Order: sequence, then structure tokens, then C-alpha cells
Amino acid sequence: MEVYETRVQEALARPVPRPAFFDELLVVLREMWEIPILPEASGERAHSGLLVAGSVAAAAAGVGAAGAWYGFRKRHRRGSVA
Amino acid sequence: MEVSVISVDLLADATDEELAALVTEDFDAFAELYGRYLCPVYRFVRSQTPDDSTAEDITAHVFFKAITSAGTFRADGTYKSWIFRIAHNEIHSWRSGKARSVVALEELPESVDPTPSPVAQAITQEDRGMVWRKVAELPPAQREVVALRYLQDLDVEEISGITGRSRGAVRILLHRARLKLRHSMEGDVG
Repeated sequence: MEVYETRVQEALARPVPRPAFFDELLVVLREMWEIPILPEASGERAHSGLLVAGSVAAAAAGVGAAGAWYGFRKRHRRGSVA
Repeated sequence: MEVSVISVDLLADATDEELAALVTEDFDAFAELYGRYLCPVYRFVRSQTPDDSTAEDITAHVFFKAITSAGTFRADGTYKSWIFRIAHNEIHSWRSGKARSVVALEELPESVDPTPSPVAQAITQEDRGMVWRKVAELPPAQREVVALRYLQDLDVEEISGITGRSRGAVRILLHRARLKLRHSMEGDVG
């Protein structure tokens, strides 16, 4: 590799992610991962009363997951202090 | 409460593709991939965007897509190519959304790698800033292939798969970018 290429490589490799931001992101992603996903409750058994109730719960949880994601984004919107 | 499917030690030894296959059933597998790819993805995105907060926002979206689309990963490709394709698409969407004809890397990022390599120590802050600006002056398509080639050490085939460009087009972009960078840096020295 030529010298100029090494310098490019080094300059590009300099920035490091801000821990406060990306630690919180991982927490939010875990919350989303743990919440049941709505399509799982919409299979062939969805006609049973229990699963209809379950899908409502899953829908509510899905809203919670979306809320966690958008809450995270709002907290870290450009210009705000993390 | 979720119980990890396999131990943390085994996760650390697993390949990216083995971990990707576990993501839908074991969050720790995703956390391991997150640890492996956070820096590379953030650095790539940061090299294509004007400031830290935009890079953070796009990087967050990349991992959001990576976890919500985990089931779409196919083991016939590498996880690295897959996640960088997501990053490529997110950057493209951001550029389109902002309708920016020129995306400049305004300043050298403030964050500093706490464990610089010997090469990094030998390169001065001023020199690093100059090189950063030279890369920033490249057209977006050239800047992207330069970042994928030199930052991620990807080959033409992989860059082609990520960007959706032909291998010939990638080679041409890299060749033009190299010429510009070499000439501009040699010009500054001479």
C-alpha cells in the first residue's frame, strides 16, 4: 500500500462512536427484541379468542417498542445534548 | 426472562454468520455482532456524513434495520457485506431525503481513538485533518468506495455487492479516487 493510502486509511479510522449514545441504543434494541412481534400472533390460530386477546397485547407491545425507538431518537435529535 | 441459548464464550468464538443465524432467538448473539460492527459501521457512515450527530442517527438506523430484518439474512453471503449494504442504503436514503447535491465532511471528527496504532501516532493531527478534507472533497460515489476499500478492507467484489455497482464501475471509481487523492496530497507536500 502506498503512503497516501495509509494516510487515508488512518484518517478514516479515527472517529470512535460516543459510548453514551450507543450504549443506550443497545438497551433500546434489546427492549424491542424482547417484545413479541405482532405477525407471530396472526397465524392460523388467530381466530381463537385467546389469540385475538394475545394479538391485542402484542399490538400494544409493538406500540411500546415503537415508542421506545422514537423516544430514543427524540432524546438524541441533532443539536440536543445526550 | 430470556435465557441465553449459548454461553458468552461460545458467542465470542462464533463466526458472524453463525451469530446472525441466532439473532432471532438469542439477543446476546446480536449484542456480539453489535460489538463487532459498531465501530466499523459508525466510521463508514461518519466518513459519508457531515457531522457526528447525523452519523449517529444513521448508524442507529442501520442497527435498527439489522435487528428488525435479521430473518432476511442469507448465509450465502457474509454478514459484513449484509450490514454494510444496509448502511449504504441508509446513507443513500438520507442523501435523497435531504436532497443534498454535495455532502461534505465538514470537520475532522472530535472523537479520538484512545488506543492509536504506531502509524496513527506518527501522523500529526494537522496531517490527519488535511487527509480527511481531501477525502471529503471526493464525489460521494468515490468517497464511498474509498471508505469501503481502505477503512473496511473490502475487495472489489464485496464493494460491488454492497453498492449495487458493477465490478468494473467500482474499479473505475477507485482508480479515479486514488488518482485524485495521490495528486492532491503530493501537491500539498510539493
